[in-house]
Formats: sequence, C-alpha cells, structure tokens
Amino acid sequence: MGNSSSSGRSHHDESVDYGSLVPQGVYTGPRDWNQAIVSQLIVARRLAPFYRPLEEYEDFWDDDQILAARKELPDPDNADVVTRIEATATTSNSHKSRRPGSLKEPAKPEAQVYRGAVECPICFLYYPPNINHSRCCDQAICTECFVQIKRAEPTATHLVSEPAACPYCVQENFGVVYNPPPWRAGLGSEGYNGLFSDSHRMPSEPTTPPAHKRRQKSFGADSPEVVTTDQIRPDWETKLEAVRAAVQRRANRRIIMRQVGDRLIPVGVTSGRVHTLSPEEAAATASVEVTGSRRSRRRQPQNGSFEQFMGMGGQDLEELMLMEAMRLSLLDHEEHQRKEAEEKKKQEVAAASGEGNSAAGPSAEAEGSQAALGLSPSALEAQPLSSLQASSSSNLSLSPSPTPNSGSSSPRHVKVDSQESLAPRKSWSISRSRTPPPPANPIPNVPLSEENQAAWRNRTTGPPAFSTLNAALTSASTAAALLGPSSSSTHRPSRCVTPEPNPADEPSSSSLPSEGRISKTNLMADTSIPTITVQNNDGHSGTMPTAVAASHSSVDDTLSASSSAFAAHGSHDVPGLNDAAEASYFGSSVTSDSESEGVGASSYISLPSSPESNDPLLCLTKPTTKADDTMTGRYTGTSTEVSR
Amino acid sequence: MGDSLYQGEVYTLQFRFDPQYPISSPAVQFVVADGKQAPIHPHVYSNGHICASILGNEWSPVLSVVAVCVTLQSMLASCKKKERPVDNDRYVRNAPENPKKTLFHYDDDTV
Repeated sequence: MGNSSSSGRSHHDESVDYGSLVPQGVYTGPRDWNQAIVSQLIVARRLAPFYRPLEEYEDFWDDDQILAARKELPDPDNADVVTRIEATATTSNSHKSRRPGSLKEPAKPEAQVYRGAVECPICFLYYPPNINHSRCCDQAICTECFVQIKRAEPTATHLVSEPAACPYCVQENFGVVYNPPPWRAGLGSEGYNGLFSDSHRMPSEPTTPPAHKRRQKSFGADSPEVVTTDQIRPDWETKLEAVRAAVQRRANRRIIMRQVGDRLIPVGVTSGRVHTLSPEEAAATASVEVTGSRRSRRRQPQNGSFEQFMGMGGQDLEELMLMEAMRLSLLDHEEHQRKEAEEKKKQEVAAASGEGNSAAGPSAEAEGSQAALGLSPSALEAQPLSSLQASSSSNLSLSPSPTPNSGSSSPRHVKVDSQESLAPRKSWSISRSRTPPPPANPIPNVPLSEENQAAWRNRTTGPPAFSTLNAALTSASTAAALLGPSSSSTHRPSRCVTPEPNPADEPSSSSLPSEGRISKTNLMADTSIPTITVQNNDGHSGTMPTAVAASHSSVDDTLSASSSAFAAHGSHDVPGLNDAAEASYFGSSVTSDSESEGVGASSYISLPSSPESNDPLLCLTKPTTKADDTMTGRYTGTSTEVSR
Repeated sequence: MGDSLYQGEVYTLQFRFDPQYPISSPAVQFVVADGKQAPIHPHVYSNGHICASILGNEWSPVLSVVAVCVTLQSMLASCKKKERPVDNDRYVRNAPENPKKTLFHYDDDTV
C-alpha cells in the first residue's frame, strides 16, 4: 500500500476501501476459489472487498452503533487480521492526518462506509453500498456470497459442468460487476491521492450515500467489467477432467476372459488407464461401434499352448486386487481341469499362468498397468521379433475382417482389427506410401462424420492383402485428413503384437497412416505366422487412433490391450465384443468368445480396452520406451478434442 | 388450501440446513411420523420426500424458507389427482435418508 503518510489512510496493507481481501467468516465451508485472483480483483476494484457485514442496519445509527453491529468473526484467523487492521488504523499516523480534514465528523471512515448499507439478498447481511451487482439482472450480491457460487461439482454420474447460473435470474454464466466508490483507501489507492486529493476523506463526509443507480443494460459474461464465477475458479476444467478421467478409467477396465470349453475364466483385467473422453465422444463411439464392429472373424486353430501374462505395474490397488482374484480363479480352474486329466495342453496353460505372473515386470511401463494376456508360446517368441517388425514397418491393412488370408491356410497370419468406433482420430504414422499425406486437419475434432464412417466401412470391407492395403490407404487418407496427422507417434519402437517378424511387410507400408481400424494383415499371410484376429472394439474410447498390430509402438498402444490380447491368443473371433463393449462401458463386463477354435482353444476375450490404455494387454511385445510419448501424443490430441 | 384437493389437510414440513446453506439447498421433506403423513401427490413419496426442482438443481441461494413453502403449497394446490408417484414403492425401499442424496429427474412441471 502506498502508505504515504499524507494520504491519511488509516488502514493496514491488507485493506481495500476499509474492507478486507479475505472473507469475513460468513461462510465456513472450504475456500475453494482462487484467493489470489480474488484479492487481485479486489485491489483492482473489480470486486467489492470483503466487508465485515452488519447484522442489522438503520439509517439513523451513529458510527459506534454501526461498528457494534458488525458481525463477529467466527474464524480466529480472520479475527486476527481484522484486529490488526483496526489497531493499525488507530495507531497510524494517518489517524492524525485524517482528523484535521474531518474534524466535524466522528472520523470513523470504517463506519462511514456502511452508510446506506445494502442487504445482500442471499446472506441477509448488510454491506456498504459499494456492493457487487449481478451482471445480468443487476441484483446486489456481496463478495462473500459471490465467491461461494460455482459450478456444480461434476460427479461420476454427472460428467458435465454447467456454468453457474445467476441465483436471481438463473441466467447462465453468472458474473458480477462492481462499481467502486469514487474514493480509494488502502491497497491500490496511491494513484488516487493526487486525482482526488480529498477523496480519501470522503467516507467521513456526510456525502450522499452512493445510491446504486439501476442500470439499463446487462453486461455480457465476457465483458471486461464482469467477474464471473469461473474466473475465480480457473481450475474448474481441470477438476472436471479429473473426474471424467477417473470415470473413464473405471469404465475402460475390462475383464479378460478365457474360454476353455464352454467355460469362461477370468484371466486378467485391463488397467483401464485411458485418457478421458467427452461424453459426446463416448456416445458417438458407442453408436458407431454398434453399427460397425460386429464382425465375425475366422480364426486359425492354434497350437494349443497359451501363455498368460498378467502385467501389473502401477495399477490401482483396486486393479491389483481384481487381478489377484482372477488369478486365483484361474488357478483354481486350472487345477480343476488338471484333475479332469485334460491333455497336456491344459498343463501348458497352467504353466502359462505361472509365467504370466512373472511377466508382469515388463509390462510395467510408464503407465504401468496392463493386464497382459497370456498367449501362445509362439507369441512369446514373437517378442524379440517385434523390433524387427518395427523396423520393417507395420503392415496395415485397413480391411479388418474380410481379409482373405485370415481364414486362409497359412496358419500364421496376424490380423488385428481394431474397430474403433470413432473414426481414426489421428493418423499415427505419416504415410509416405501411396497415401496422400493427410492434410492438416482443419477440424481435428470431427468425430464421426459421415465421411469417417464411410471410410471406415470401406476399410473394413476392403479387399485383401495388398490391394486391401491400397484401398485402405486411400480411405485412410480421408480419415487421416479428418484426423489430422499425428506425426509424433510415427516411429516408435514397436512392441508389437505380431508373433513373428513379417517378411511380407513392406517398407512402404511401414508408415502408413494407421487408422482406427487397421488390421495387420495379410501381408503376413505368407509368413508362417499364426493368424491372429483381433477385434478391437474400442467404441468407447473413440479416440483410438489405430490398431496396427505390427510394429508401431503407437500401434500397439492403440491397439490397446484388448486387441493385442486377442492377437496374442491368436485365432478367435470376438463376437459379442460389441455387446460386451457396451456393457463394459458402464463397468467391467465379461465377454465370452463364442468362436474360439483351435486346440488350445482357450479364447481370451478382453473387452475392448480403451486406446489409451497404453498398457498392452499382451505383453507379447516388449514394452517400448516410447510408450509414454505415444500416450502423450494421443492424449494431447484427445484432449484437444475434448476441450472443443 | 382453498379449493385444492387438499383442502383442510395439514402437513408438516421439515427443513434441514447444512453448513453451505444458502448456497446449497436445504433438505426439505414432509414429516412422516407421529401420525403425520405426507400428502398424496404425484411428486411426493410416501416417505415424505419431495421431487421438486427447486430443492435440487434449480435451487437458488436467493430462495428462502418462505419461498420454498409457497412453492410447495402451489405444487399441492395445482394437483389434479391424488396419487403417489408411479415409482413410489421402489423409491421408498431404497431411498436415502436425506432426500438431497436422491438424484431426481424433474420431468413434469405441470404439477
């Protein structure tokens, strides 16, 4: 405070126009607004200071009566502040200097400011007439009440946050306008000494109370005079996102089931760590998923051994507990089976489960959590290969299911079909192949445009193998255009799902724009890679950019746990995924894989995990160090969309 | 209550104010005890809970106890047929003690 002695100001540094920068205890709840911002606004005279309110007020009261009517402060902290202020007022030199100017007055400006006090309609207490008024309907509201008004806290069941409405007229985006008194005292008053030499004494003058003149127009929420509730709680958006993320994470948690015979055994749970989706996105995704994702895939019989990995790294306690429960369940089941003297393959499974536990380590990536599904040994072998693929590039065939090879005799063909409901949000890789580079996307958000959907369909039904690839690319470009290029994710070390390196992979394909549904395809058909069909219905997470089975780390990530899981397990269809996915949206649901074939025939079904789950469900591939990056990139993209 | 269906009937309201009042709404319900009953009304459950938007998302700190009483009075007065909410039994079975914990859907503003 420019405490120039000549100014005659009698207040402590923390006072503004004889009011305070901090609440005076009318409300006892948490002070969840940004006090720094509020203080700043008060000093800037854009918000009325916190005055100690009067319980009652009569015009004929003298100063002492007014001061006596001030509400006692329940909060000791506040009391201290006020006491200090008052002490300062009485002892400071300003006391003396002020007297001369207002000799005939009681010289108690701190009382004079209450002349013409106004009752706040919300707390029913009286405040100096320089009080805030609602921007919309010009109703008085004290600062104490104003700072209490905020958006409704988002909850798990109410994932939106409407701006606070005016308590008086219910207009949205509540905000207030403050007309400061013509004089100034305390903080921020120095500049005014010259301009209004006598102004600091004004409170002690019997001036006409600054009657509030009814204004004719209302202020817009964005007009510079207005202070809105969001302004003093700039973190509302963050909070909302946090709640959404938590809900999303829960919703994306999937229980991974393995089918043995006609039984389903839970073998793991996905981490569900996903970036948040806006409800709209989720809805859109879900709807798309319903229409498009249902598709049966043929699977190749697999060599009957499956390994199970349960990656646990950094999961929530909840997740860990769930996984443990599943593990026990699985063990129990296996024991049961063993008793039934199942063949050796059963034993292998059991062994696999054991490994799965140990496998957790690698899976613990930055994000840490994934349920890794155990896969066939072949899958295990594949790990080392992943790098190879990465280098070679991922083969992406856009047509997920219909790939000719999938059903083909070549046992080893990995096809990953991620059908994410949302059109590819991002092209993960920049295509340098025939695909025209994705044009910068003017509208990153375009969620499910017709085009996207169409493109998507094209892809799914596309021709097999390379031709498919081309078609896919073409269509992909459309999608990519919509999505906008995501360059960052392009070359990541892959932790691919693919079991074996794919000789068929063409370099050209490596950086194909991967769309949401890219299946790693037939390229591999030639190779003796076991065919794995993965259907990634990640409807809810609509953001899943890609499901590329192969080498892009981004792909892997995107593939998300579920897809990878499928892949790992090799040949299964995942019918019912859609349903499951939907169900899972609200919680974890269990899906069964109806078509599991093959000898080892345990089918693992994971509900679509959200794209965000970086965590590869399958630990088939080695975790890439880049996982974080990928995630980040994706997250960014997503968040952008959300924010729109 | 004039010519309303509830003419001559007397009900008791219970107001509970939490520390955030008046920023947050009071918990208001009809007293159902000691021989007192909740009025039979499509928006009043037999446990006394009231489905009224001003007690939920349309609460405004400007509203007072008097305003709430007037609103509820009006709600009763405008009732055309005495009946319980359709989901009364289900709701009452699982209803929280405090009606503020119920997430009502306010779909009928005619009564």
